[in-house]
Amino acid sequence: MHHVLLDRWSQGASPIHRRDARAKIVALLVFLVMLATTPADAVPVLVTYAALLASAILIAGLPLGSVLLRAMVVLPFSLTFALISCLAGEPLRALALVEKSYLSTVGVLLLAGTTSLPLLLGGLERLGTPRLLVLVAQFLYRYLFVLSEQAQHMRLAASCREGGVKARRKFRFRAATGALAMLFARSYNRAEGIHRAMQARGFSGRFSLLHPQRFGALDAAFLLFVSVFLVVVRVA
Amino acid sequence: MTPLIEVRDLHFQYEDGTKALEGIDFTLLPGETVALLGANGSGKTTFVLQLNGVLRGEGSITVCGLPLTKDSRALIRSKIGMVFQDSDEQLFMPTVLDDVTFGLLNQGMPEEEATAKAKLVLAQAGLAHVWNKAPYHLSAGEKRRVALAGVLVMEPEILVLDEPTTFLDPPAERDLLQLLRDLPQAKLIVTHNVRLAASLASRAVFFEKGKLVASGSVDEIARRFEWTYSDLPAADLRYSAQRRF
Amino acid sequence: MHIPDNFLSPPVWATLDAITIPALGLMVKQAARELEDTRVPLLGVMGAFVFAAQMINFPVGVGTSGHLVGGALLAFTLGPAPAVLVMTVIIAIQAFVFQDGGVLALGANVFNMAVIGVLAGYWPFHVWGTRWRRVAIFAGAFLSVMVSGSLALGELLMSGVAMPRPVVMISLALFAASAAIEGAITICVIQAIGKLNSGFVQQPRAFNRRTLAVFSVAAIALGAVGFLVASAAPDGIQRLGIQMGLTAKSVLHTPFADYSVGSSGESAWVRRATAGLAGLLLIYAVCAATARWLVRRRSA
Repeated sequence: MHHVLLDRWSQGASPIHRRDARAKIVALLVFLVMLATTPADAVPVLVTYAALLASAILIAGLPLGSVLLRAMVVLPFSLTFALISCLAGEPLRALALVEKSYLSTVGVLLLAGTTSLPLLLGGLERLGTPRLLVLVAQFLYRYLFVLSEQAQHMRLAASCREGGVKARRKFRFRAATGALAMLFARSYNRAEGIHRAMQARGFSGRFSLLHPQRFGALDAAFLLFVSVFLVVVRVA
Repeated sequence: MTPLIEVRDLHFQYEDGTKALEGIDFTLLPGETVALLGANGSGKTTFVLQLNGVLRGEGSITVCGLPLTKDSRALIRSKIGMVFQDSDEQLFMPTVLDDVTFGLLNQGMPEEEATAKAKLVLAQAGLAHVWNKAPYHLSAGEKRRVALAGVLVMEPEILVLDEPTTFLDPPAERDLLQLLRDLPQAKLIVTHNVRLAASLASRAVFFEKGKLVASGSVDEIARRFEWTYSDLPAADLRYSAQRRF
Repeated sequence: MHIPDNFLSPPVWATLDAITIPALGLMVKQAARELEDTRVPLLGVMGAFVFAAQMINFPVGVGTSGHLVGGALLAFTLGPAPAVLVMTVIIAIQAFVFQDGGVLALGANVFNMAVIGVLAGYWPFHVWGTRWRRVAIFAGAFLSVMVSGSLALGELLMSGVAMPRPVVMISLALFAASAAIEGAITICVIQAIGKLNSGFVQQPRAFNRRTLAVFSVAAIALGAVGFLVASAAPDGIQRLGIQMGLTAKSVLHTPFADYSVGSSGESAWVRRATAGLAGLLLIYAVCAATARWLVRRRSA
């Protein structure tokens, strides 16, 4: 599953992995804004940005081919609209759409692949995201793996019972409904169990989040260098 | 000896009216390990959740000399360390370290002190290398031991373990057993694993449909209620109980 | 429909980012008042449930299968404000972890699906839920997908993405089909959940807050406007646009010349689209102000 792989990638120890999440998030935002405002005919800018991304991926120690492959998830969408644009007589815009949407996806993938989600959420919180959203995201991610495995098992169990004869559609629909309801109930009960475990260890009503990262000189240097580079390439 | 836990006439019923616990009397003495045996749904887990006030029934519960009330709950929860049956419900924080420090941060300990203490306890449990991992990367045995570490770090006087050997393979079960044997706290162990009960517990109680119907040695209870696996003669249990005590 | 980055024009995504943040701020503050951290695990686990639920396929015919989107289901089981919160988190995680939807476009996607979509989905339940429950649930689920899809379409059109009329019509038809599937799945699942434990599903009358009612009405209005813009036939809105003196240039003429308009045939249409956007902003501003005023009155 996609998030399992990404989770593994984010456990690395490259210089980029070790940067403060805030620096990486802001760098990504600068990149995305610069990219979004790049005109369709500014090919050298796009090429330079692509080269920057590629070198960042290599420095981070991520598998280049795998990253580029995963970024293609945006292509069905952008190619469809590009085709329509081409037929409407704007081939340049079409090409730009495909290139830019692909590059921005690679950028986001780079962030997600070099920053574990708890650290990413911590960075977002310190940049101003409301605490409640960050906490919910933290719990969601924690149980994403558990519940998606449960859903996979349910799918497997259901397919085992299909017995080779294609069951009537209505019957399979009902089976899926039952599976979903069961998953819902188990999730709800799990949440109750978590609540009890929280209470048993003296939960006082408010979560305290650990903040292991400190924004250092290296992080500032990283952010400065990347931002300046991106802006200079775009403007020049 | 003043009992660590004293329960008198405990009653509890669910919202829909089903009686979960009826007239429970129970005592836990210092240093004791008591096994709670009984069928699924007989009230064992419901009972232990009453002890730290997570579920609230009627009757008197006294823990370490403190009557359980709304005000004493927080203090009592620091005296009873509970390891839940489902480790995924207990380890709800993003990383192992976050989880083990959870209880300490709730008690108001500063972040750095809590982190240091957590890392120490993890090292003692042989888990120093997983401090930064997410719980879903751990095996069932590791999760169980992390859960135990998260409880031990709060220095409780009483340990309550709900089905601690569920999902554990034999090596993991052995490791857990070893760990539990070395802990000095009084323990309450809810379990179906009669071997575990026999090797750790000096006494057992038997729950049946919400009532506590018997108390005695593990061997006595197992024989009386035929609470063994069919291929394990009761004689073996007596041997392992004698070896321990 | 998750819009990736670089599809929307900078004025559109920047405006939506600027709208969504205060809207979310209001909702989060309300949720934080009702909820406390104690409910956080439930919201998180339910969010994970939605992800997992999207993996379960529902056969809908001719070899195709659909899956649950979940906004309406969350609203019916958790209540509207928590549902908005959870959907927001889901969309954010989809953007960052699954690269489904853009990061700069987060404001737009959250606005479409988490805020307006959820509220539009809850509104029929709130109004009809006691008497015509099944219809209300189906309608709610249908609206949540239809409204968010139409808004997304409208935003793309406003950004100048080339979409000739047939494409727009086909897209709307596809949204309607997904919406119908969502309705079918949601009503079946809600019934099944209710059988397991009647406490799982909200009582419609429980959420009698005027703020939410105002927002919900606004959501329907916005959805209607979005739909009109998308179908490119809003004569009334065109008149509104002319009256407001807005032209294509004033909104779309920016340093970001990438999205400048070419032929004269498009400019009239673009004027309408601009007017549509202005109308959306106006309605939103009025509703937000009213809501804030109502909240202040209640707490005074």
